[in-house]
Amino acid sequence: MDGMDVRVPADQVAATPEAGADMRVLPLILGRWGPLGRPARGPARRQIRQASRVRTRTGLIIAVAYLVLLVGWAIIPGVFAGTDPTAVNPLAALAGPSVHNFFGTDQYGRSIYDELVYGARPALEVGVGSTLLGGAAGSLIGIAGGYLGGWFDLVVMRLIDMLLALPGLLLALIFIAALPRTLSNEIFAIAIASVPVFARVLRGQAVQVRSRRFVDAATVSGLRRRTIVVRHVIPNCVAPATELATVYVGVAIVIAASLSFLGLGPSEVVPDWGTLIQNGQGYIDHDWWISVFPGVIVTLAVISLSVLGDRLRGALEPVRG
Amino acid sequence: MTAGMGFAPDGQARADARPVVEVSDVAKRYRLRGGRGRTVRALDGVSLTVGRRRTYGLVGESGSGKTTLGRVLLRLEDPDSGQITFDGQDWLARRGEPLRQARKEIQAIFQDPLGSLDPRRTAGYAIGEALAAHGLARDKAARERRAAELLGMVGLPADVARRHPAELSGGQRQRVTIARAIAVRPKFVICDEPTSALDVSVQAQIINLLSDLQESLGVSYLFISHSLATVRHIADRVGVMYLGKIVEEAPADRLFSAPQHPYTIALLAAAPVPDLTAISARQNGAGTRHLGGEVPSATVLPSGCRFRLRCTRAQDVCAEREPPLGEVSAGHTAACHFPGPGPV
Amino acid sequence: MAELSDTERTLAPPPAGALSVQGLTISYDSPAGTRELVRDVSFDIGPGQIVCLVGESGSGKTLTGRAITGLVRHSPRLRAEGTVSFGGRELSTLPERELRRVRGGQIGMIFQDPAAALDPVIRLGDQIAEAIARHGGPAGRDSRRRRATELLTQVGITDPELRARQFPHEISGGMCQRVLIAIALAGDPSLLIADEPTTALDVTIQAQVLDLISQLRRERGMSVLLITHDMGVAAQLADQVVVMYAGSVVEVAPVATFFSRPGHPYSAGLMRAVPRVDAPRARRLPAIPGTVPEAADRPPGCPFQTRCPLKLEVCGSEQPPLTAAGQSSGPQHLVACHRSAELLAGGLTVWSAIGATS
Repeated sequence: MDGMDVRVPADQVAATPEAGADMRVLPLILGRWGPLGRPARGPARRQIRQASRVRTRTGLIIAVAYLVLLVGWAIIPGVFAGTDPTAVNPLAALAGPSVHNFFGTDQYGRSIYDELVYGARPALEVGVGSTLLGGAAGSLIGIAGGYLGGWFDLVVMRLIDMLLALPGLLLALIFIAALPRTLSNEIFAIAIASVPVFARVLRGQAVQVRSRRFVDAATVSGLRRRTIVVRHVIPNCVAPATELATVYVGVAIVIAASLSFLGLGPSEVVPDWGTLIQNGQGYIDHDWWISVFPGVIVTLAVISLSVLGDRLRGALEPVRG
Repeated sequence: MTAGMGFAPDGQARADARPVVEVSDVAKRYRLRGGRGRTVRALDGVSLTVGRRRTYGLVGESGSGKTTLGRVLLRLEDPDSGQITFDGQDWLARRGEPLRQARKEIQAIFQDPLGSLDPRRTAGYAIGEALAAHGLARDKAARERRAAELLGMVGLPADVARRHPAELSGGQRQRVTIARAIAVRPKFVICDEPTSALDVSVQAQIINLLSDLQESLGVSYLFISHSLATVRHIADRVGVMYLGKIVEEAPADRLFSAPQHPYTIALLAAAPVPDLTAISARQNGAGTRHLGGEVPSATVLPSGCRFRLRCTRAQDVCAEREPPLGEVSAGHTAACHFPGPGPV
Repeated sequence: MAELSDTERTLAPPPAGALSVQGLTISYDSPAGTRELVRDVSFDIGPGQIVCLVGESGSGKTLTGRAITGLVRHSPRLRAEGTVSFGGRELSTLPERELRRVRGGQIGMIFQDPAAALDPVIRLGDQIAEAIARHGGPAGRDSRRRRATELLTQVGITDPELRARQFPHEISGGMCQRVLIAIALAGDPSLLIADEPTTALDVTIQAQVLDLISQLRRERGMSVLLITHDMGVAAQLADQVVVMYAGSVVEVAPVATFFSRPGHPYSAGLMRAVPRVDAPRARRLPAIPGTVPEAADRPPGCPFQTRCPLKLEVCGSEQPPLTAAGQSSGPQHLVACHRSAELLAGGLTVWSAIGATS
């Protein structure tokens, strides 16, 4: 709640009048969890939603709608745009935004809009792919360090700190420079950049979870350490990991765009977003739309992911008294 | 030695068979962070015995070490020195897999029931997990059946198994943790402030439940609490801890009717009683002042008796020699150079 | 009640520390309808009087305490109705700026977790001085420092100059609470609201803090609203006891009357269910069966009906109003129960019949 924290006692949490937001997205995501711990059904889920700090629905709905649109662009670009974004049309070169070309055309007469739509798939592939890969690896390293502690934690975390000292773009750059320029290698390089971030955050979370009573209780019950980690520590670390991952997809998209902007992106026929921005560099004075619209699209993607991540965190945390 | 001897509620002394737990001179130190190299002596030579089907009440304020003793008994931490015997066997010698298997004999319920249950799991899962860890139920159906039985034993309807901790009230949650603890048929349950976080009207229910379970299952308890009143209603034998040591130990009735150590007397005097006649009697009659001073830092203990800085009976000898736990009457010991009743 | 004009205020000093709460109702809207967390709460505190608001979780006692100083205003979903008048002024209609001066000034407040209420990076003396400055203390840093040291002495802290230079983590919980009391005293309050001030403290320290509150009342003529779940604390400090259950006041009585002849089944049941140091070990503690209902689940009629051994049909439909318990109890004894007369006549024996169940 805003302002003074009116603390409704633990036994009243179910009645806490916080949010009434109805997150329809939630079942889609949460339903996939399976053995990692199915969150509550029925009344408890209602409470979980109620406990999330959702101020308005509109922001979230816009963000989700935008992301769904991008996914649509990625999966079925033909529905949203013409069939060939690389079609050159010199007659229509450097035309401003119009009914025919929503975002104008570049110096070759290609529709910026079409290029953006077709560029969505590589962008999302890199964004989601690298986040999943790097996130999973980083999370496991972090959780292991946090839970096991001792010399393992010490050594591994110092290595992670070394990686963290370099900005993500730079790390990705180092790997990209050494590898052939394919999409998969770009995913791999950006994944490496994401590992230290996840490792740090998840280590902190694991340390917190480790000291919670129910972990002690599980030990006292006689559970094997392996079981405790898999069934209790990891599921309780998922919430910050998911929030971080959602936001990081945006970061990964920006890193990929930056790499393309620098000319280090994968060499594909269909230009991706970063290349588009770079393309319009020289024309920025008069024919601003060539760079600006791709920039706007990328920025909105990052913002939407950030909003989604924020709301997800609130929704995923189980209610604590 | 009165090891294992307890007094049944009807007043008859009963000599027990071998005690369930024997703690002998256990010590545990923590090193403080901050580079000053100071240590906290959380446990400074604690010994006690818990008999079969008996409840030992361990009382103390913060810094007394009572919680640490619970954790040591549960092998969540290991002591620096001392011995612990469980059911006649060396408890500290067990490690690894044998320790894990032996854990079914010593269970625990903790203060914060919301914290001691995984918020992401249902109550039924928590109970079933304990059963599965010791191979006590063949398959999922058997676990569910047993969980329903156990919930019934703690006074909860079977459908609670499907609920998450957040959906239950504080009292219900604590009953679930009790069900989980007794699921593996332990001989000994450590209750660490089990009622402190509960509503007043629910505390009595939980205490009654614990008593009933002791009768029906024959389990022994170590009941750790800061609340003397609560301990009085469940313990057979009581030990009072101060700064890592037991300073007085006696059968429950004796401790409350005739305390000998000034700290015990002060604790009893400080506990607010919901009865006007009792209060005015205390204030007019005995003229007990409330205990002054703060609990001293556990890193720098006073020389000699650790209680002497707050004690009005303190004399020179109290600063020179630490008083040992001496017997003041049968089964009643106190660590004081001048034990006896009367004002602090 | 119209606010007194400045002239009126200076000419006729209102009864200091007198608080009157009438019809306080705090509710929120849920999809299933309006839910009341606090329902029609009324009680008075006379000048220099200690009133204990006793209740368990879900009783609404903390919310009531916060509503008095207008802290509920900030919560977007909670709605507060009713009047709160203090020293002749109507607090509920006061603009926020004025209310902020009252809060911490004429009305001092201390809460449950003393260490958490202090800023960990500011020295204790400075935190007190800040409160002094905010509530019309002397100008000039040195005079404020001196006043802070004075206050530390008044709350029983020895070596105040040393303590003033320390940080919260260097002192114990009990001392933190004393410092918080000192901060509350900085505004020279005529009313102190203490919400579970000793719950987080050890029992020997609790006794010290309660003694301090009692002493301050004697020395300053300050009235106190002490919110607690511990009946023993009420017995020790209160002049008057107000018992709340599930959002409503169920009993109001002078402390002697309350403990000798409680008029409400809940009060009586609670007294018997609380384990006591001075009572010999009972075979079973007479517990109150059931649990406190949540705001969303309160039945129509009396909130206690689900657990009451004396329940009648009328209890399920009509919430009993707070009425005088009868001549024998005195005019100040109010009980919200349809059957209070029987209870007062029969004493606590009504609970013995069901004492064995839990």
